[in-house]
Amino acid sequence: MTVINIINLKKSFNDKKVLNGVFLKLEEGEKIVIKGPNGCGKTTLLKIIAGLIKPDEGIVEISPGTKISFMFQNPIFLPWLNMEENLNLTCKDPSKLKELIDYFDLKDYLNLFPHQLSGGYLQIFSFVRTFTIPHNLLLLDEPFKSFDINRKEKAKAFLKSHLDNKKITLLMVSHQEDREDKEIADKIFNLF
Amino acid sequence: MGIRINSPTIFPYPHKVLLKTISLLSDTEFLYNLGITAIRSLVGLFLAFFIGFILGNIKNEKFYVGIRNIIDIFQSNPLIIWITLALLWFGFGSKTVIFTTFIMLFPNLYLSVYYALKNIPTEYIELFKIYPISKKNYITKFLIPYIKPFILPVLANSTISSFKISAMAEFFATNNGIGFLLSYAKTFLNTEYIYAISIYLFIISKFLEYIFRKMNILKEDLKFDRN
Repeated sequence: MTVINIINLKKSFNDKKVLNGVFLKLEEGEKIVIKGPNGCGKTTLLKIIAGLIKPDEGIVEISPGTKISFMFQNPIFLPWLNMEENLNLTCKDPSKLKELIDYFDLKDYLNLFPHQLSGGYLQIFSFVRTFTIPHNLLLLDEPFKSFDINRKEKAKAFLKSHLDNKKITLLMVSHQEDREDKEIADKIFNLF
Repeated sequence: MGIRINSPTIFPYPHKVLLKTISLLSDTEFLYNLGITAIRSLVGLFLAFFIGFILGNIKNEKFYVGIRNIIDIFQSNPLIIWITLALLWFGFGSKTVIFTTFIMLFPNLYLSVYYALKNIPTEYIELFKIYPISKKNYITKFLIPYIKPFILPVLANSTISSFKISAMAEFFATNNGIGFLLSYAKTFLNTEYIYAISIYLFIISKFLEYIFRKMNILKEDLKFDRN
């Protein structure tokens, strides 16, 4: 079953063409990584698929019943809530949340506010949040960007196990230098 | 200066003004009128805030343009015009004072709500599109904490102004309240009384300002309360 079908997608910002005729088809359970230089439109493509940005031209077909979870490139948390309150605010699966908090050893950081955490920790919390809502399409925007090596390995291991034996479709955007994408992806596409 | 002018009617002796100011503390008529002014100013403030908050939530460009034009009319006319019109519309009494206070405070309160909501960062809008939350949580956990640092300074300033505006309206439009006492004192050339009342208005305004500064509401930079 085709989950995403994108035909001739175009998007410009202030006359600057960001996406110029993108075609993409993802089948259920497929794991795709999209790479490309800065400003080539990777994030824009993910946001269009998630329905956060409207395309200028082209067709974006998402199969009915698709539940999307999206990990933003820059972690977004409400500054007046601590991390526990932030996660609980959007969480639809408390047991999964608890499991991930334990897995990434984040208990000691739950009472802290976003401004008290490093970029790396915010990224981990953002990663955790992605899995606390029902989804069968995962959109990850440079998910391991600020992780240290240990957490990157743990996050990759978790992601692989999460995707195994499930009909979850993955579309992940990654920086060109990241080599570990091959461990996760069925296919790697380059966006220019 | 009073001696040079040689007329206590124009500039009374400071010690006499001070004595009058102190004596007013035990003057039940003065305290009663002070209370009336406080109630009128608070009712005007509440109405301006309540209506400003409700209308500020309407995200319709045409509606905003309409309200903006009305606000321009409110702001371009001096206070005395509104007092005069209110006297014609509502007659002599509290309604005129409350209406005038409302007219003067509504614009800033409405605009602060409208612009705070209009400028909600895109990242939060995107966050709640992907991670939807209940309406109750949206209002209590997001909207109110987000809007608070934008509205509270305006509300604090409006509270301080409301007292002065109500007193001014009472001067022309009522037979009680601090404004009326001023008008009465003027008629009978009771200058000491006028100065004593003006000292109280100054103290009330500075006291409110002090309280709001203590509560960290009136500060230069907008920071979100993280606790």
